[in-house]
Amino acid sequence: MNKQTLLAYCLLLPGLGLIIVFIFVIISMALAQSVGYFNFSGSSTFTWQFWQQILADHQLSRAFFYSLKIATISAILSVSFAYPLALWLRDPFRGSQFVSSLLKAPLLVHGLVAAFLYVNFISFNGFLNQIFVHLGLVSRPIRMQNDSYGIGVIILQVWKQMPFALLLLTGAVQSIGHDITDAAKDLGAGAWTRFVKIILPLTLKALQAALIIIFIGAAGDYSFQIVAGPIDVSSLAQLMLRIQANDANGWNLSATVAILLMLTALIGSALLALITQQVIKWGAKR
Amino acid sequence: MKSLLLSLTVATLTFATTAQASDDLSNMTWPQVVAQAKKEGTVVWYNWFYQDRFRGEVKSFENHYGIKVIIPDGSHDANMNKFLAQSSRPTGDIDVLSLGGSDLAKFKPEKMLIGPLSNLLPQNNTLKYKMEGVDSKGYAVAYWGNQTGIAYNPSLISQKDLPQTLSDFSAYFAKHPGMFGFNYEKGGSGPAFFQSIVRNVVPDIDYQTAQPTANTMAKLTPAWKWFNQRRGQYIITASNSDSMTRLNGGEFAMVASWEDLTASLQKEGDISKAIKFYIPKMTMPGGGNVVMIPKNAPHPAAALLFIHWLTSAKTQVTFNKDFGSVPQNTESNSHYALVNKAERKNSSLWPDKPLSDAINKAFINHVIFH
Repeated sequence: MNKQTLLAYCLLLPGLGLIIVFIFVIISMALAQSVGYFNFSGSSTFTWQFWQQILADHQLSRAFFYSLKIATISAILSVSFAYPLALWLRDPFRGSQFVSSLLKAPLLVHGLVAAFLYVNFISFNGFLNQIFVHLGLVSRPIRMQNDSYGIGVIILQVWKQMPFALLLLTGAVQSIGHDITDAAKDLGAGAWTRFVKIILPLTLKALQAALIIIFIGAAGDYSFQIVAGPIDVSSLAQLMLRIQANDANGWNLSATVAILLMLTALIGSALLALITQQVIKWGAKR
Repeated sequence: MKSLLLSLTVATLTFATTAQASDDLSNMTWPQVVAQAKKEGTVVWYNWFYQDRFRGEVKSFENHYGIKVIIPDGSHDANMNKFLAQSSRPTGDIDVLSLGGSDLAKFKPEKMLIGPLSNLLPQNNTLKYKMEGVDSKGYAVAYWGNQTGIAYNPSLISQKDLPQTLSDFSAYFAKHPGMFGFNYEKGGSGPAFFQSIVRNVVPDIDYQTAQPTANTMAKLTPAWKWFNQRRGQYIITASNSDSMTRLNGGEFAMVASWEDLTASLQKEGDISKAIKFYIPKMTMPGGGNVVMIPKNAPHPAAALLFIHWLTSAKTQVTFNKDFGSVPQNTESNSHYALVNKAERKNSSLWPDKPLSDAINKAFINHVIFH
């Protein structure tokens, strides 16, 4: 290794080193707790007891599939809404900067604040119900708060995450030269064909990055779920905290959920990115 | 070295003084306790709720005795953990600790607390030392009574139509689906309601003595069936407060609630004064909180004097008026309570702790996540 390379690694060390140390400490602590070590209420010895207990709990499978559903739908919807906007904002026009800033505004609003605002908006006496009643669409307000399907959580996720997808996709879309799309147009490709065969394949990396980041965030969501989520099903993060608070062996049991949450985020996002790649390749070849 | 020796001497003297003071309490006359308390000058009260409002309430104690009351912020669990973690220290930070009545079963009061308070307090005969099925043996005294029941909106249900029995509730749910709400977490009023239903559906269990064995839990199956058959007829809310907010907004006609929460929200103007509260004849549990003095309290005499003030008939009436708590001194009247004496007979005990927790968990598994 020459001096230059060594220097580069040394310069990376303060930032990267801390990240690696923190990740290592947290993951190893969670792994150790999940197999019985760092037990605050009993003896700290190796045991599979906590894994057996949590895997036998049907709340876990419900929480797992619920979090998977929310994360997948939120990621797909966020990029689906972001694409048309990114294409619209591809070429600057009068006011495009303002529109772009406005669309990214949700990034500045904290999730909890957004969730409370949303619940206020859709609550029994909220603005939406007032309008429905005023317009005579319903005689009595509709109960929409904490809906059983997690629609509220998905709306919040998309509202919060779509600007992030837009940020990534706008850059990727803008980097595609007009000569390429013009050439396709000259060869008779319609708008949809140009989107599927040129835009999507050329922005695949940005699309995958957006999907992965949104999926991971939504799979580990707590704040939206706790305020606006269904009452009859927990997200994985919610289950982890509930178990920690309610059980004598809470810390060890919640460590197992934490490991599963990390695995779900990692494997789920990788699968989503892989499937997206295959679908886009298939679409481009048709 | 000199400073180390000095620190050790000061620490030893402090410990000796504290230990001496706690031993002396039982040998002191009440005027001597008051004099010692004034000398100590401060009392630190770890109370996990309404801290802001209690800081206002204790002003009368501070003005009367010239003793400053410090009420730190802290949750129930954090205060309990602090008390347990500090128990081996010669001098702790807590003078007076508030806990729920059933928390006393989690440690040995006679080992960790100063007392028995029943021998130290001048008004001992008018106070309660047993709470939520746990006998403190005089080491902890009740200062706060709370009762669960049903808060209702009289514009949506009249007093004569209020459901009183299990069959009344069944009929009401069927006739008015979606008009009754209760929580299953973040507050105990919802659990109090479903535990009452459980007790009425499955009456052949002694809820004060039974252990949560597989046999006991299997007996509760009809109760889960009762709830599951009516799943769309009642609404599960996010918390006690969520229930009350939605009741106030007209979304529900009735919700499970606490008497003190209802009164407090009305007092603060957060909910309408028109909201009423009742305890149904099928009974709902009532309990309360107790205060105690840790063995290593830094100001034990001030702590004792403070508890004397806290549990006095006058203060208990003030709390009844300001918070809606049930007075715990037999000499206090409860004119300001939301329910009358006759209706208070519908109050029952909470099931004993291990069984109560098991019922809550089983409700979540068999009904909520069914």
